[in-house]
Amino acid sequence: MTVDDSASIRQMVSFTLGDAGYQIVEAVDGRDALAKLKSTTVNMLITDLNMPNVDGIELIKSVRQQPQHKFIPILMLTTESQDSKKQLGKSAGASGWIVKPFSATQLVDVVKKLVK
Amino acid sequence: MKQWFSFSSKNRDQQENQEFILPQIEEENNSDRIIPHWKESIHESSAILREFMDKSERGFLAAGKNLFDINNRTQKIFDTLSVLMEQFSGSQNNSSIDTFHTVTEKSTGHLHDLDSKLIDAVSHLALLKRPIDVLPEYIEQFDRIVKRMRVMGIATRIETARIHMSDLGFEHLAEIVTSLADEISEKGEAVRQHLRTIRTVTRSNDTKLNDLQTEYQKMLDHVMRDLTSSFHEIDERHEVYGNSIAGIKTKSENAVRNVHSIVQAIQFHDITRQQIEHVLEALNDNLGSETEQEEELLANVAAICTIQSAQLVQAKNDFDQAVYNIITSLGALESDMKMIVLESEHIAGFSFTNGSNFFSKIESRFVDIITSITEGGHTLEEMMISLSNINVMIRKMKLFMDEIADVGSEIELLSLNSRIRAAKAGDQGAALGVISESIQLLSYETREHITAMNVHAEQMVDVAEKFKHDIDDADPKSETNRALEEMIQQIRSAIAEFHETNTNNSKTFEENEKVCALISSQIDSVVSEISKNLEYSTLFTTSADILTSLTNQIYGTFSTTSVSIFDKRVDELKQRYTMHSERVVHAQVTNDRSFHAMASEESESAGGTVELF
Repeated sequence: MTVDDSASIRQMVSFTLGDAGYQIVEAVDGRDALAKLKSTTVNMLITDLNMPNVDGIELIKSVRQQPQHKFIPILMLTTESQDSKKQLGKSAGASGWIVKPFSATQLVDVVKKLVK
Repeated sequence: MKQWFSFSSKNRDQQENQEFILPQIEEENNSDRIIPHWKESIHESSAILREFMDKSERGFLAAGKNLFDINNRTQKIFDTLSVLMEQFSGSQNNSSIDTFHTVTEKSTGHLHDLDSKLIDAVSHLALLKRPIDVLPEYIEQFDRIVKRMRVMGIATRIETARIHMSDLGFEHLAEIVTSLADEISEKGEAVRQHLRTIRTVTRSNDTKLNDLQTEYQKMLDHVMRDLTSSFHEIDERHEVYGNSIAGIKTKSENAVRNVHSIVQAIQFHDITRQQIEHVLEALNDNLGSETEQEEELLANVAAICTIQSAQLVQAKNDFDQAVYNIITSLGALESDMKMIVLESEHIAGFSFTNGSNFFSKIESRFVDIITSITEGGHTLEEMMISLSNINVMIRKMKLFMDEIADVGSEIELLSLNSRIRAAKAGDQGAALGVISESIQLLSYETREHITAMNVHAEQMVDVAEKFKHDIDDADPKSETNRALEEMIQQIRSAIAEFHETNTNNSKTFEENEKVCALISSQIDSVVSEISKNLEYSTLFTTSADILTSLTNQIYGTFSTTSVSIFDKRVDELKQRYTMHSERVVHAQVTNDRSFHAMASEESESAGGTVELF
């Protein structure tokens, strides 16, 4: 699942990972993601940090409380690069962090590693 | 006491040109006029930025779908072309090329052999010319002998009558000699006739052989040269293929780079969007401010506007750069596509359109060889038949010569007998004795001529045998020529194989060309779509200009206290700038060393940093 309030970024992630053979579910923010996760089980979550309604950190915390998604890899794709923010994500339960802008290859490689 | 910062005339001119009309600043009590308008300015600036975000997001979304679609199609074409071209220069076609080369070399060898044998045949045939030219001279000699014999016959009759010695049988001798002379004359004429026929046949064969040899020579000089040149061309084309494959691989890598560039450009757009969100948040914070301290409020607004207008200018630059990168990437991709179309046309042109003619030319040359050899075969068959006739004629001619020799022997015996009888007759038979002796000499002469003619006839038989052997060797039904025909069949199979592969490849090339044209048109459409975003980005400037104007007006109201509040507020804004790009701008605007250091330190872990926990 890719969660981002930017439609173009969601699209980019979907196309990039779709090309690599993954099936993608899109959510426009944390609230939308949590709603969709009630009826969908995913193998991995890729989320932005700053989003309206429910932000990335809150989303991770909520997802980690769901038994079916407790151990799935969660990757943060964000423009933020401060260590304090990273620590916040790590504490919430993120598995990794990629600072924008990243390359398509980087994204696919990291997803492969985490899903494996 | 409020202190006014002076405005330069340039600043005033700039303000007059702006769409958004700021309140006119007056010398006194300016803040009273600014306060009611600053919220309006910020609202307007925010509205413009939101308009931009909305438009640009839709633009990137629409373009993004096309961009990935373009990339997928392009990648498929690259992959297909790479496979096709590797197949094309692969073992299958190399074996065909090898067959062409082998057959050409062997064909050249065979044609050289044939040519050499035909040269031998021509030279052997030339050997027939001498006996054919010489033998008639002997026959003319016979004519003279026959005349003399006839004279001798008459003389014998006269002398016998004169001496009244008819009982000695000389009259009978005269009759026989005359009769035998007639016989020699008749046989000589027959030999002459045969020689004429042999000469005609020989001349005809000589002409045919020369024509055939000329034809083979032409084949060697022109056809084989054309073929060899064609094969050189194939070799060169294969080299071109190798380069094309390498080129397509490079273009494929370029395409991947283009996609990376596009992916990054879309993210830069997202970064810009994030920056704008921060700008809007900062502005909104102050819109809701209820502070009673007018000076503090204005200092806050000025601080935000100063940094945010700089942030917007930077965002515009980043955004423009992102759009520019996409357009440049698409330009490179389009250029690559055009190159691929050219490559495809080049390859398809060689392998199919013109290639068909090219290989048809090769096939046609080999057909020329077959036709020429077949026609040559017919000529040689005709020559074999006429050669058999020559042999028959030579044998017949020899028979006639043998018969002439027999007649000569008979005359010799008769003349010897006559000489004996003449001797017995004493003085009366003296004249007859002389005549008999002359007849005997004529018979000797006949025998000598026949012996000489036999030597020439034997020579003719010998030459005819050699000639037969030459033609046997050059006969297209011979083993070497059958091998040549087998090779020509091989070359036809190889051409058919080549043709089939090329036809299949050509269809794929044509399909790829159509897709390339589609992609090219799609790229044009995306470039046009993306270019609109460059127009939207002027909204950044408008928004930033509004904020700058507002800031300048607020500066005009600043007191020392305001400056202090302003500095404090700017320092607080550091906390809002959590993005690397924002901190870089902040550091530039405020000349804050600690921020510089922070920005510099973090630049190493900026975009593209991956960290797995």
